[in-house]
Amino acid sequence: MILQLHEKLKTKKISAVELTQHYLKRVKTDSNNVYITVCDREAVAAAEKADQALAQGKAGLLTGIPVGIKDIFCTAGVKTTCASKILGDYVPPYDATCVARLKRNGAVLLGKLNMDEFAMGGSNENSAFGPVKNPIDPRYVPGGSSGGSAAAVAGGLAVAALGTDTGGSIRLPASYTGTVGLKPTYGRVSRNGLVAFGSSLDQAGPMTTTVSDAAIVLESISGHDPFDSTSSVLPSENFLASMVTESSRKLKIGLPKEYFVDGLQREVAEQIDSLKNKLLAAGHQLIPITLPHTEYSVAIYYIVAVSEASSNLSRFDGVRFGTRIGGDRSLVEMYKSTRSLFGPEVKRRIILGAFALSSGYYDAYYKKACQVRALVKRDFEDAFKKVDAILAPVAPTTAFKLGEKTADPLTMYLNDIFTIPANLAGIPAISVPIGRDQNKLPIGAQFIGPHFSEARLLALGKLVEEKHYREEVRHGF
Amino acid sequence: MDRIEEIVKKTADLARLELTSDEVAMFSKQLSGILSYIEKLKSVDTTGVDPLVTPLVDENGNLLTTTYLRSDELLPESSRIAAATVVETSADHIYNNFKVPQVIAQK
Repeated sequence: MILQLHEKLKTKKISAVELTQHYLKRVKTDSNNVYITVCDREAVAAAEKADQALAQGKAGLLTGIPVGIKDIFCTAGVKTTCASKILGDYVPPYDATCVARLKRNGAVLLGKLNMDEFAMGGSNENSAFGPVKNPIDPRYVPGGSSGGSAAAVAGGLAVAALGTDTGGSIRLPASYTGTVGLKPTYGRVSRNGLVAFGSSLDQAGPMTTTVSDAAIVLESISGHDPFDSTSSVLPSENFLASMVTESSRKLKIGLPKEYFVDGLQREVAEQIDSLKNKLLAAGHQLIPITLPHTEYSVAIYYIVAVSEASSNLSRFDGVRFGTRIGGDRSLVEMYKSTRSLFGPEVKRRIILGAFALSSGYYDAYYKKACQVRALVKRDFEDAFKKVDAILAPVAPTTAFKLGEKTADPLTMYLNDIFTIPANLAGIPAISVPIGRDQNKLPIGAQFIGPHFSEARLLALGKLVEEKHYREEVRHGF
Repeated sequence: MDRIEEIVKKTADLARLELTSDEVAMFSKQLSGILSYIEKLKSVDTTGVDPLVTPLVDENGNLLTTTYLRSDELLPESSRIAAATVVETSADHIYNNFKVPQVIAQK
Protein backbone atom coordinates (compact mmCIF):
# COMPACT_ATOMS: atom_id res chain seq x y z
CA MET A 1 0.00 0.00 0.00
CA ILE A 2 2.86 2.42 0.82
CA LEU A 3 4.44 1.83 -2.60
CA GLN A 4 1.18 2.70 -4.38
CA LEU A 5 0.62 5.79 -2.22
CA HIS A 6 4.22 6.87 -2.79
CA GLU A 7 3.63 6.65 -6.54
CA LYS A 8 0.45 8.76 -6.23
CA LEU A 9 2.26 11.33 -4.11
CA LYS A 10 5.21 11.49 -6.47
CA THR A 11 3.05 11.88 -9.56
CA LYS A 12 0.93 14.51 -7.74
CA LYS A 13 -2.30 12.50 -8.08
CA ILE A 14 -2.75 13.30 -4.39
CA SER A 15 -0.89 15.66 -2.04
CA ALA A 16 0.46 14.62 1.36
CA VAL A 17 -1.89 17.14 2.98
CA GLU A 18 -4.90 15.63 1.19
CA LEU A 19 -3.82 12.13 2.21
CA THR A 20 -3.39 13.18 5.84
CA GLN A 21 -6.75 14.94 5.85
CA HIS A 22 -8.39 11.83 4.41
CA TYR A 23 -7.16 9.83 7.40
CA LEU A 24 -7.86 12.55 9.98
CA LYS A 25 -11.44 12.68 8.71
CA ARG A 26 -11.79 8.93 9.14
CA VAL A 27 -10.25 9.14 12.62
CA LYS A 28 -12.88 11.71 13.64
CA THR A 29 -15.72 9.32 12.81
CA ASP A 30 -14.10 6.33 14.56
CA SER A 31 -16.39 4.45 16.93
CA ASN A 32 -13.92 1.76 18.03
CA ASN A 33 -11.91 3.87 20.51
CA VAL A 34 -8.72 3.43 18.51
CA TYR A 35 -6.84 6.66 19.27
CA ILE A 36 -6.03 8.12 22.69
CA THR A 37 -4.57 11.34 21.26
CA VAL A 38 -5.00 12.76 17.77
CA CYS A 39 -2.40 15.28 16.52
CA ASP A 40 -4.41 17.15 13.86
CA ARG A 41 -2.33 20.31 13.66
CA GLU A 42 1.06 18.60 13.91
CA ALA A 43 0.00 16.06 11.29
CA VAL A 44 -1.07 18.69 8.76
CA ALA A 45 2.15 20.65 9.38
CA ALA A 46 4.21 17.48 8.84
CA ALA A 47 2.23 16.75 5.66
CA GLU A 48 2.96 20.26 4.37
CA LYS A 49 6.65 19.63 4.92
CA ALA A 50 6.29 16.30 3.12
CA ASP A 51 4.70 18.08 0.15
CA GLN A 52 7.71 20.41 0.01
CA ALA A 53 10.09 17.44 0.05
CA LEU A 54 8.04 15.80 -2.71
CA ALA A 55 8.15 18.99 -4.79
CA GLN A 56 11.92 19.15 -4.36
CA GLY A 57 12.30 15.50 -5.39
CA LYS A 58 13.68 14.61 -1.95
CA ALA A 59 10.94 12.17 -0.98
CA GLY A 60 11.55 8.69 0.38
CA LEU A 61 9.01 5.88 0.50
CA LEU A 62 7.61 7.08 3.83
CA THR A 63 7.41 10.75 2.95
CA GLY A 64 3.87 11.94 3.54
CA ILE A 65 2.63 8.53 4.72
CA PRO A 66 0.21 8.91 7.70
CA VAL A 67 1.08 6.55 10.55
CA GLY A 68 -0.24 5.86 14.04
CA ILE A 69 1.97 5.16 17.03
CA LYS A 70 1.10 2.93 19.99
CA ASP A 71 0.87 5.17 23.05
CA ILE A 72 3.83 3.37 24.64
CA PHE A 73 6.34 5.29 22.47
CA CYS A 74 7.48 8.66 23.78
CA THR A 75 6.61 11.51 21.44
CA ALA A 76 8.12 14.95 21.99
CA GLY A 77 5.44 17.45 22.94
CA VAL A 78 2.64 14.89 22.50
CA LYS A 79 0.97 13.20 25.47
CA THR A 80 2.22 9.65 26.08
CA THR A 81 -0.09 7.83 28.48
CA CYS A 82 0.72 4.14 28.01
CA ALA A 83 -3.07 3.84 28.48
CA SER A 84 -2.60 4.48 32.19
CA LYS A 85 -4.04 7.12 34.49
CA ILE A 86 -0.63 7.38 36.16
CA LEU A 87 0.78 8.86 32.92
CA GLY A 88 -2.53 10.53 31.98
CA ASP A 89 -0.97 13.98 31.51
CA TYR A 90 2.62 13.02 30.75
CA VAL A 91 4.20 14.91 27.85
CA PRO A 92 7.70 13.57 27.12
CA PRO A 93 10.49 15.96 26.16
CA TYR A 94 11.85 13.63 23.47
CA ASP A 95 10.89 11.18 20.72
CA ALA A 96 11.50 7.45 21.03
CA THR A 97 14.23 6.49 18.55
CA CYS A 98 11.70 4.60 16.39
CA VAL A 99 9.46 7.64 16.22
CA ALA A 100 12.37 9.98 15.46
CA ARG A 101 13.47 7.67 12.64
CA LEU A 102 9.98 7.48 11.11
CA LYS A 103 9.70 11.27 11.27
CA ARG A 104 13.14 11.69 9.73
CA ASN A 105 11.95 9.49 6.86
CA GLY A 106 9.04 11.87 6.32
CA ALA A 107 6.20 9.86 7.90
CA VAL A 108 3.27 11.90 9.22
CA LEU A 109 2.28 11.10 12.80
CA LEU A 110 -1.51 11.09 13.08
CA GLY A 111 -1.65 10.37 16.78
CA LYS A 112 -1.23 7.93 19.64
CA LEU A 113 -3.02 4.61 19.66
CA ASN A 114 -4.94 2.88 22.41
CA MET A 115 -3.47 -0.23 24.02
CA ASP A 116 -3.64 -2.34 27.17
CA GLU A 117 -2.33 -0.37 30.14
CA PHE A 118 1.49 -0.69 30.14
CA ALA A 119 1.06 -3.29 27.35
CA MET A 120 -0.31 -5.77 29.86
CA GLY A 121 -3.07 -7.74 28.23
CA GLY A 122 -4.09 -9.74 25.22
CA SER A 123 -7.44 -8.18 24.39
CA ASN A 124 -7.04 -4.40 24.77
CA GLU A 125 -9.66 -4.42 27.51
CA ASN A 126 -7.17 -3.18 30.13
CA SER A 127 -6.88 0.40 28.87
CA ALA A 128 -7.66 3.19 31.33
CA PHE A 129 -9.29 4.89 28.34
CA GLY A 130 -11.69 2.03 27.63
CA PRO A 131 -11.44 -1.03 25.42
CA VAL A 132 -10.75 -0.97 21.69
CA LYS A 133 -13.28 -2.75 19.49
CA ASN A 134 -12.34 -4.90 16.53
CA PRO A 135 -13.16 -3.00 13.30
CA ILE A 136 -13.93 -6.29 11.56
CA ASP A 137 -16.77 -6.87 14.06
CA PRO A 138 -17.10 -4.50 17.03
CA ARG A 139 -18.55 -7.21 19.27
CA TYR A 140 -15.10 -8.77 19.35
CA VAL A 141 -11.77 -7.72 20.88
CA PRO A 142 -9.00 -6.61 18.50
CA GLY A 143 -6.39 -8.51 20.54
CA GLY A 144 -3.75 -6.83 22.62
CA SER A 145 -1.77 -5.25 23.76
CA SER A 146 -1.25 -3.32 20.48
CA GLY A 147 -5.01 -3.41 19.83
CA GLY A 148 -5.27 0.23 18.80
CA SER A 149 -2.42 -0.19 16.31
CA ALA A 150 -4.08 -3.24 14.74
CA ALA A 151 -7.52 -1.62 14.69
CA ALA A 152 -6.10 1.56 13.12
CA VAL A 153 -4.55 -0.35 10.25
CA ALA A 154 -7.49 -2.75 9.77
CA GLY A 155 -10.07 0.03 10.03
CA GLY A 156 -8.29 2.50 7.75
CA LEU A 157 -7.35 5.01 10.44
CA ALA A 158 -3.62 4.92 9.56
CA VAL A 159 -1.65 3.52 6.65
CA ALA A 160 0.71 1.77 9.05
CA ALA A 161 1.30 1.66 12.79
CA LEU A 162 3.98 0.88 15.32
CA GLY A 163 3.29 -1.71 17.99
CA THR A 164 5.31 -3.51 20.61
CA ASP A 165 5.47 -7.23 21.33
CA THR A 166 6.46 -8.62 24.74
CA GLY A 167 4.60 -11.94 24.56
CA GLY A 168 2.64 -11.61 21.33
CA SER A 169 1.31 -8.06 21.54
CA ILE A 170 1.97 -7.33 17.85
CA ARG A 171 1.18 -10.73 16.37
CA LEU A 172 -2.00 -11.52 18.28
CA PRO A 173 -3.85 -8.29 17.39
CA ALA A 174 -2.54 -8.55 13.82
CA SER A 175 -4.03 -12.03 13.64
CA TYR A 176 -7.38 -10.95 15.15
CA THR A 177 -7.76 -8.02 12.73
CA GLY A 178 -6.43 -9.48 9.48
CA THR A 179 -3.32 -7.32 9.39
CA VAL A 180 0.40 -8.01 9.10
CA GLY A 181 2.49 -7.78 12.29
CA LEU A 182 6.21 -8.34 12.62
CA LYS A 183 8.05 -8.85 15.89
CA PRO A 184 11.72 -8.34 15.03
CA THR A 185 14.73 -10.05 16.62
CA TYR A 186 15.39 -8.80 20.15
CA GLY A 187 17.81 -5.89 19.62
CA ARG A 188 16.91 -5.25 15.97
CA VAL A 189 14.92 -2.13 16.89
CA SER A 190 15.91 0.36 19.58
CA ARG A 191 13.83 0.36 22.76
CA ASN A 192 14.94 3.88 23.65
CA GLY A 193 11.84 5.90 24.46
CA LEU A 194 9.55 2.90 24.89
CA VAL A 195 7.88 2.76 28.28
CA ALA A 196 9.50 -0.44 29.56
CA PHE A 197 7.44 -3.50 30.49
CA GLY A 198 9.60 -6.65 30.21
CA SER A 199 13.00 -5.38 29.18
CA SER A 200 14.38 -8.75 28.06
CA LEU A 201 11.27 -9.42 25.96
CA ASP A 202 9.99 -6.07 24.60
CA GLN A 203 10.50 -5.38 20.93
CA ALA A 204 8.90 -2.75 18.69
CA GLY A 205 7.74 -3.56 15.19
CA PRO A 206 5.49 -2.66 12.26
CA MET A 207 1.76 -3.37 11.89
CA THR A 208 0.59 -2.90 8.32
CA THR A 209 -1.91 -3.95 5.66
CA THR A 210 0.72 -5.65 3.49
CA VAL A 211 4.01 -7.48 3.92
CA SER A 212 5.86 -4.96 1.73
CA ASP A 213 4.67 -2.17 4.02
CA ALA A 214 6.06 -4.06 7.02
CA ALA A 215 9.41 -4.30 5.18
CA ILE A 216 9.43 -0.55 4.49
CA VAL A 217 8.61 0.42 8.09
CA LEU A 218 11.08 -2.11 9.51
CA GLU A 219 13.88 -0.65 7.38
CA SER A 220 13.12 2.79 8.80
CA ILE A 221 13.14 1.79 12.48
CA SER A 222 15.93 -0.84 12.59
CA GLY A 223 19.60 -0.42 13.35
CA HIS A 224 21.88 0.34 16.25
CA ASP A 225 21.05 3.16 18.61
CA PRO A 226 23.69 4.36 21.08
CA PHE A 227 20.81 5.20 23.47
CA ASP A 228 19.88 1.51 23.79
CA SER A 229 22.77 -0.68 24.87
CA THR A 230 20.81 -3.79 23.85
CA SER A 231 20.23 -2.62 20.28
CA SER A 232 22.19 -4.71 17.79
CA VAL A 233 25.14 -3.25 15.90
CA LEU A 234 23.84 -4.99 12.79
CA PRO A 235 22.89 -2.18 10.38
CA SER A 236 19.35 -1.86 9.04
CA GLU A 237 18.84 -3.23 5.55
CA ASN A 238 16.69 -2.64 2.50
CA PHE A 239 14.16 -5.27 3.51
CA LEU A 240 12.12 -4.81 0.32
CA ALA A 241 15.16 -5.88 -1.68
CA SER A 242 16.40 -8.59 0.69
CA MET A 243 12.86 -10.00 0.83
CA VAL A 244 12.96 -10.49 -2.93
CA THR A 245 16.40 -12.15 -2.74
CA GLU A 246 15.18 -14.48 0.00
CA SER A 247 12.03 -15.38 -1.93
CA SER A 248 14.06 -17.26 -4.55
CA ARG A 249 15.33 -19.73 -1.92
CA LYS A 250 13.70 -23.10 -1.43
CA LEU A 251 13.28 -23.48 2.31
CA LYS A 252 12.84 -26.21 4.85
CA ILE A 253 9.86 -25.21 6.97
CA GLY A 254 9.37 -26.85 10.35
CA LEU A 255 5.98 -27.85 11.75
CA PRO A 256 6.32 -28.13 15.54
CA LYS A 257 4.02 -30.84 16.85
CA GLU A 258 3.49 -28.92 20.10
CA TYR A 259 1.73 -26.14 18.18
CA PHE A 260 -0.75 -28.39 16.39
CA VAL A 261 -2.72 -29.76 19.30
CA ASP A 262 -6.28 -30.37 20.46
CA GLY A 263 -8.04 -27.12 21.17
CA LEU A 264 -6.95 -25.52 17.92
CA GLN A 265 -10.07 -24.07 16.26
CA ARG A 266 -11.05 -26.27 13.30
CA GLU A 267 -10.91 -23.44 10.74
CA VAL A 268 -7.49 -22.31 11.98
CA ALA A 269 -6.15 -25.84 11.43
CA GLU A 270 -7.86 -26.09 8.03
CA GLN A 271 -6.43 -22.81 6.76
CA ILE A 272 -2.94 -23.78 7.90
CA ASP A 273 -3.32 -27.14 6.12
CA SER A 274 -4.34 -25.35 2.97
CA LEU A 275 -1.37 -23.00 3.33
CA LYS A 276 0.97 -25.99 3.71
CA ASN A 277 -0.08 -27.18 0.24
CA LYS A 278 0.75 -23.78 -1.22
CA LEU A 279 4.16 -23.85 0.42
CA LEU A 280 4.83 -27.30 -1.03
CA ALA A 281 3.63 -26.17 -4.46
CA ALA A 282 6.11 -23.26 -4.25
CA GLY A 283 8.93 -25.78 -3.85
CA HIS A 284 9.44 -25.54 -0.09
CA GLN A 285 9.79 -28.62 2.09
CA LEU A 286 7.71 -29.27 5.22
CA ILE A 287 9.46 -31.05 8.06
CA PRO A 288 7.91 -32.23 11.34
CA ILE A 289 9.91 -30.90 14.30
CA THR A 290 9.61 -30.80 18.07
CA LEU A 291 9.99 -27.89 20.51
CA PRO A 292 9.64 -29.94 23.69
CA HIS A 293 9.61 -27.10 26.24
CA THR A 294 6.75 -25.18 24.58
CA GLU A 295 4.27 -26.18 27.30
CA TYR A 296 6.33 -24.31 29.92
CA SER A 297 6.43 -21.03 27.97
CA VAL A 298 3.42 -19.38 29.59
CA ALA A 299 4.65 -20.28 33.09
CA ILE A 300 8.14 -18.91 32.33
CA TYR A 301 6.68 -15.78 30.80
CA TYR A 302 4.42 -15.00 33.72
CA ILE A 303 7.41 -15.10 36.03
CA VAL A 304 9.98 -13.32 33.86
CA ALA A 305 7.69 -10.64 32.39
CA VAL A 306 6.08 -9.75 35.70
CA SER A 307 9.41 -9.71 37.54
CA GLU A 308 10.83 -7.28 35.01
CA ALA A 309 7.59 -5.29 35.09
CA SER A 310 7.56 -4.97 38.87
CA SER A 311 11.07 -3.56 38.67
CA ASN A 312 10.39 -1.31 35.67
CA LEU A 313 7.17 0.08 37.08
CA SER A 314 8.79 1.09 40.35
CA ARG A 315 9.75 4.31 38.53
CA PHE A 316 6.11 5.43 38.65
CA ASP A 317 6.32 6.96 42.08
CA GLY A 318 4.88 10.43 41.53
CA VAL A 319 8.33 12.02 41.61
CA ARG A 320 9.90 12.12 38.17
CA PHE A 321 7.00 12.03 35.74
CA GLY A 322 3.29 11.57 35.55
CA THR A 323 0.68 12.36 38.10
CA ARG A 324 1.30 12.78 41.84
CA ILE A 325 -1.37 12.21 44.44
CA GLY A 326 -1.06 13.01 48.15
CA GLY A 327 2.20 13.64 49.93
CA ASP A 328 0.83 15.70 52.81
CA ARG A 329 1.72 13.03 55.36
CA SER A 330 4.76 11.17 54.11
CA LEU A 331 6.74 9.99 51.11
CA VAL A 332 5.41 6.42 51.43
CA GLU A 333 1.84 7.73 51.60
CA MET A 334 2.51 9.68 48.40
CA TYR A 335 3.92 6.58 46.67
CA LYS A 336 0.90 4.52 47.63
CA SER A 337 -1.69 7.17 46.72
CA THR A 338 -0.02 7.82 43.38
CA ARG A 339 0.33 4.14 42.54
CA SER A 340 -3.37 3.59 43.25
CA LEU A 341 -3.80 4.98 39.72
CA PHE A 342 -2.59 1.65 38.29
CA GLY A 343 -5.37 -0.58 36.91
CA PRO A 344 -6.05 -4.05 38.35
CA GLU A 345 -4.03 -6.04 35.78
CA VAL A 346 -0.99 -3.84 36.41
CA LYS A 347 -1.30 -4.22 40.18
CA ARG A 348 -1.73 -7.98 39.81
CA ARG A 349 1.46 -8.25 37.77
CA ILE A 350 3.49 -5.99 40.05
CA ILE A 351 2.51 -8.11 43.06
CA LEU A 352 3.27 -11.37 41.27
CA GLY A 353 6.61 -10.02 40.05
CA ALA A 354 7.65 -8.58 43.39
CA PHE A 355 6.76 -11.92 44.96
CA ALA A 356 8.76 -13.95 42.39
CA LEU A 357 11.80 -11.76 43.08
CA SER A 358 11.45 -11.69 46.84
CA SER A 359 13.90 -13.22 49.26
CA GLY A 360 13.20 -16.91 49.79
CA TYR A 361 11.29 -17.31 46.51
CA TYR A 362 13.81 -15.95 43.98
CA ASP A 363 15.50 -19.30 43.27
CA ALA A 364 12.25 -21.25 43.10
CA TYR A 365 10.55 -18.83 40.73
CA TYR A 366 12.71 -16.29 38.89
CA LYS A 367 15.90 -18.31 38.60
CA LYS A 368 14.05 -21.52 37.74
CA ALA A 369 12.05 -19.69 35.05
CA CYS A 370 15.25 -18.30 33.52
CA GLN A 371 16.75 -21.79 33.44
CA VAL A 372 13.74 -23.25 31.63
CA ARG A 373 13.85 -20.19 29.37
CA ALA A 374 17.37 -21.28 28.34
CA LEU A 375 15.90 -24.68 27.39
CA VAL A 376 13.18 -23.04 25.27
CA LYS A 377 15.90 -21.12 23.43
CA ARG A 378 17.89 -24.33 23.01
CA ASP A 379 14.81 -26.04 21.49
CA PHE A 380 14.76 -23.38 18.79
CA GLU A 381 18.52 -23.63 18.20
CA ASP A 382 18.17 -27.39 17.70
CA ALA A 383 15.21 -26.87 15.38
CA PHE A 384 17.03 -24.30 13.26
CA LYS A 385 19.81 -26.81 12.63
CA LYS A 386 17.20 -28.74 10.64
CA VAL A 387 14.89 -26.07 9.27
CA ASP A 388 15.07 -22.48 7.97
CA ALA A 389 11.78 -21.28 9.46
CA ILE A 390 8.83 -22.54 11.45
CA LEU A 391 5.12 -22.34 10.56
CA ALA A 392 2.63 -22.15 13.42
CA PRO A 393 -0.75 -20.72 14.35
CA VAL A 394 -0.67 -17.33 16.10
CA ALA A 395 -3.42 -18.23 18.56
CA PRO A 396 -5.57 -21.30 19.18
CA THR A 397 -8.71 -19.44 18.06
CA THR A 398 -9.86 -16.32 16.25
CA ALA A 399 -10.89 -13.20 18.22
CA PHE A 400 -13.16 -13.66 21.24
CA LYS A 401 -16.00 -11.42 22.39
CA LEU A 402 -15.45 -8.38 24.61
CA GLY A 403 -15.77 -9.39 28.27
CA GLU A 404 -15.50 -13.10 27.53
CA LYS A 405 -12.17 -13.72 29.27
CA THR A 406 -11.81 -10.79 31.65
CA ALA A 407 -12.90 -12.67 34.79
CA ASP A 408 -10.08 -15.19 34.74
CA PRO A 409 -6.58 -13.83 34.07
CA LEU A 410 -5.08 -17.31 33.65
CA THR A 411 -7.43 -18.16 30.72
CA MET A 412 -6.38 -14.89 29.12
CA TYR A 413 -2.67 -15.66 29.70
CA LEU A 414 -2.96 -19.13 28.14
CA ASN A 415 -4.08 -17.52 24.89
CA ASP A 416 -0.46 -16.41 24.35
CA ILE A 417 0.93 -19.97 24.29
CA PHE A 418 2.03 -19.83 20.61
CA THR A 419 3.44 -16.30 20.61
CA ILE A 420 5.42 -16.23 23.87
CA PRO A 421 8.20 -18.69 22.87
CA ALA A 422 9.66 -16.31 20.21
CA ASN A 423 9.95 -13.55 22.84
CA LEU A 424 11.61 -15.88 25.33
CA ALA A 425 14.18 -16.89 22.69
CA GLY A 426 14.56 -13.35 21.28
CA ILE A 427 13.86 -14.48 17.72
CA PRO A 428 11.73 -12.80 15.04
CA ALA A 429 8.24 -13.85 13.96
CA ILE A 430 5.71 -12.48 11.50
CA SER A 431 1.93 -12.84 11.68
CA VAL A 432 0.06 -12.78 8.37
CA PRO A 433 -3.65 -13.20 7.59
CA ILE A 434 -4.49 -16.56 6.00
CA GLY A 435 -8.29 -16.50 5.80
CA ARG A 436 -11.52 -16.01 7.74
CA ASP A 437 -13.58 -18.33 9.93
CA GLN A 438 -17.34 -18.93 9.64
CA ASN A 439 -18.03 -15.78 11.69
CA LYS A 440 -15.94 -13.85 9.12
CA LEU A 441 -13.24 -13.26 11.73
CA PRO A 442 -9.64 -13.17 10.49
CA ILE A 443 -7.29 -16.11 11.00
CA GLY A 444 -3.54 -15.55 11.26
CA ALA A 445 -0.49 -17.76 10.88
CA GLN A 446 3.03 -17.01 11.96
CA PHE A 447 6.45 -17.78 10.58
CA ILE A 448 9.19 -17.89 13.19
CA GLY A 449 12.84 -17.71 12.16
CA PRO A 450 16.35 -17.66 13.62
CA HIS A 451 17.93 -14.39 14.82
CA PHE A 452 17.98 -11.64 12.17
CA SER A 453 16.03 -13.66 9.59
CA GLU A 454 13.39 -10.94 9.13
CA ALA A 455 13.91 -10.81 5.34
CA ARG A 456 13.19 -14.54 5.10
CA LEU A 457 10.03 -14.19 7.20
CA LEU A 458 8.89 -11.28 5.04
CA ALA A 459 9.49 -13.39 1.92
CA LEU A 460 7.32 -16.16 3.35
CA GLY A 461 4.65 -13.61 4.25
CA LYS A 462 4.75 -12.27 0.71
CA LEU A 463 4.29 -15.80 -0.62
CA VAL A 464 1.15 -16.15 1.53
CA GLU A 465 -0.19 -12.90 0.06
CA GLU A 466 0.54 -13.95 -3.50
CA LYS A 467 -0.43 -17.62 -3.44
CA HIS A 468 -2.83 -18.11 -0.54
CA TYR A 469 -4.76 -15.18 0.90
CA ARG A 470 -4.82 -11.43 1.05
CA GLU A 471 -7.12 -9.27 3.18
CA GLU A 472 -9.00 -6.56 1.39
CA VAL A 473 -7.74 -3.08 2.36
CA ARG A 474 -10.61 -0.87 3.56
CA HIS A 475 -9.16 2.62 3.76
CA GLY A 476 -11.85 4.41 1.74
CA PHE A 477 -9.97 5.24 -1.46
CA MET B 1 -6.34 -15.78 57.44
CA ASP B 2 -4.93 -17.58 54.43
CA ARG B 3 -1.19 -17.58 53.95
CA ILE B 4 -1.63 -16.36 50.38
CA GLU B 5 -3.53 -13.32 51.64
CA GLU B 6 -0.66 -12.52 53.99
CA ILE B 7 1.79 -12.81 51.10
CA VAL B 8 -0.33 -10.56 48.88
CA LYS B 9 -0.61 -7.92 51.62
CA LYS B 10 3.09 -8.00 52.46
CA THR B 11 4.19 -7.93 48.81
CA ALA B 12 1.77 -5.12 47.98
CA ASP B 13 3.16 -3.11 50.88
CA LEU B 14 6.74 -3.64 49.66
CA ALA B 15 5.67 -2.64 46.14
CA ARG B 16 3.99 0.46 47.61
CA LEU B 17 0.52 -0.55 46.49
CA GLU B 18 -2.48 0.19 48.67
CA LEU B 19 -5.08 -2.57 48.28
CA THR B 20 -8.68 -2.62 49.45
CA SER B 21 -9.86 -5.76 51.26
CA ASP B 22 -11.80 -6.71 48.12
CA GLU B 23 -8.63 -6.41 46.06
CA VAL B 24 -6.70 -8.53 48.56
CA ALA B 25 -9.36 -11.23 48.29
CA MET B 26 -9.51 -11.08 44.49
CA PHE B 27 -5.73 -11.02 43.93
CA SER B 28 -5.22 -13.83 46.47
CA LYS B 29 -7.64 -16.08 44.61
CA GLN B 30 -6.19 -15.22 41.21
CA LEU B 31 -2.56 -15.42 42.30
CA SER B 32 -2.99 -18.81 43.94
CA GLY B 33 -4.38 -20.06 40.63
CA ILE B 34 -1.46 -18.57 38.70
CA LEU B 35 1.10 -19.85 41.23
CA SER B 36 -0.24 -23.39 41.10
CA TYR B 37 -0.07 -23.24 37.29
CA ILE B 38 3.54 -22.04 37.51
CA GLU B 39 4.38 -25.03 39.73
CA LYS B 40 4.70 -27.07 36.55
CA LEU B 41 8.20 -25.62 36.06
CA LYS B 42 9.38 -27.66 39.05
CA SER B 43 9.08 -30.86 37.00
CA VAL B 44 11.72 -29.67 34.49
CA ASP B 45 15.25 -30.95 35.12
CA THR B 46 17.47 -27.86 34.96
CA THR B 47 20.58 -29.33 36.53
CA GLY B 48 23.61 -27.50 35.16
CA VAL B 49 21.52 -25.14 32.99
CA ASP B 50 22.65 -21.50 33.11
CA PRO B 51 19.70 -19.14 33.58
CA LEU B 52 18.93 -17.11 30.45
CA VAL B 53 18.33 -13.61 31.74
CA THR B 54 18.30 -11.84 28.38
CA PRO B 55 18.37 -13.21 24.82
CA LEU B 56 20.76 -10.56 23.50
CA VAL B 57 22.91 -11.97 20.68
CA ASP B 58 25.69 -10.71 18.42
CA GLU B 59 25.37 -10.44 14.61
CA ASN B 60 25.95 -14.19 14.29
CA GLY B 61 23.31 -15.13 16.80
CA ASN B 62 25.74 -15.99 19.62
CA LEU B 63 24.67 -15.00 23.10
CA LEU B 64 26.29 -11.79 24.33
CA THR B 65 27.38 -11.37 27.91
CA THR B 66 27.72 -7.59 27.80
CA THR B 67 25.63 -4.91 26.19
CA TYR B 68 26.82 -2.41 23.60
CA LEU B 69 28.15 0.50 25.61
CA ARG B 70 28.92 3.81 23.94
CA SER B 71 32.12 5.63 24.70
CA ASP B 72 32.06 7.72 27.85
CA GLU B 73 31.98 11.09 26.12
CA LEU B 74 29.85 14.15 26.55
CA LEU B 75 27.27 14.33 23.76
CA PRO B 76 26.93 17.50 21.71
CA GLU B 77 24.37 19.87 23.20
CA SER B 78 21.97 19.31 20.27
CA SER B 79 21.47 15.65 21.22
CA ARG B 80 21.08 16.27 24.94
CA ILE B 81 17.94 17.14 26.84
CA ALA B 82 18.44 19.95 29.31
CA ALA B 83 17.94 19.05 32.97
CA ALA B 84 15.46 21.90 33.24
CA THR B 85 13.32 20.33 30.50
CA VAL B 86 13.36 16.96 32.25
CA VAL B 87 12.34 18.24 35.67
CA GLU B 88 9.67 20.35 33.99
CA THR B 89 7.66 17.16 33.34
CA SER B 90 7.58 16.24 37.04
CA ALA B 91 4.81 16.99 39.51
CA ASP B 92 6.95 19.25 41.69
CA HIS B 93 10.46 20.60 41.32
CA ILE B 94 12.76 23.31 42.53
CA TYR B 95 15.51 24.62 40.22
CA ASN B 96 16.85 21.47 38.50
CA ASN B 97 15.78 19.11 41.27
CA PHE B 98 12.74 16.94 41.85
CA LYS B 99 10.90 17.89 44.99
CA VAL B 100 9.42 15.26 47.30
CA PRO B 101 7.57 15.43 50.63
CA GLN B 102 9.71 15.74 53.71
CA VAL B 103 11.43 12.44 54.49
CA ILE B 104 13.04 13.20 57.88
CA ALA B 105 10.65 14.59 60.46
CA GLN B 106 11.29 18.00 62.03
CA LYS B 107 11.59 18.28 65.78
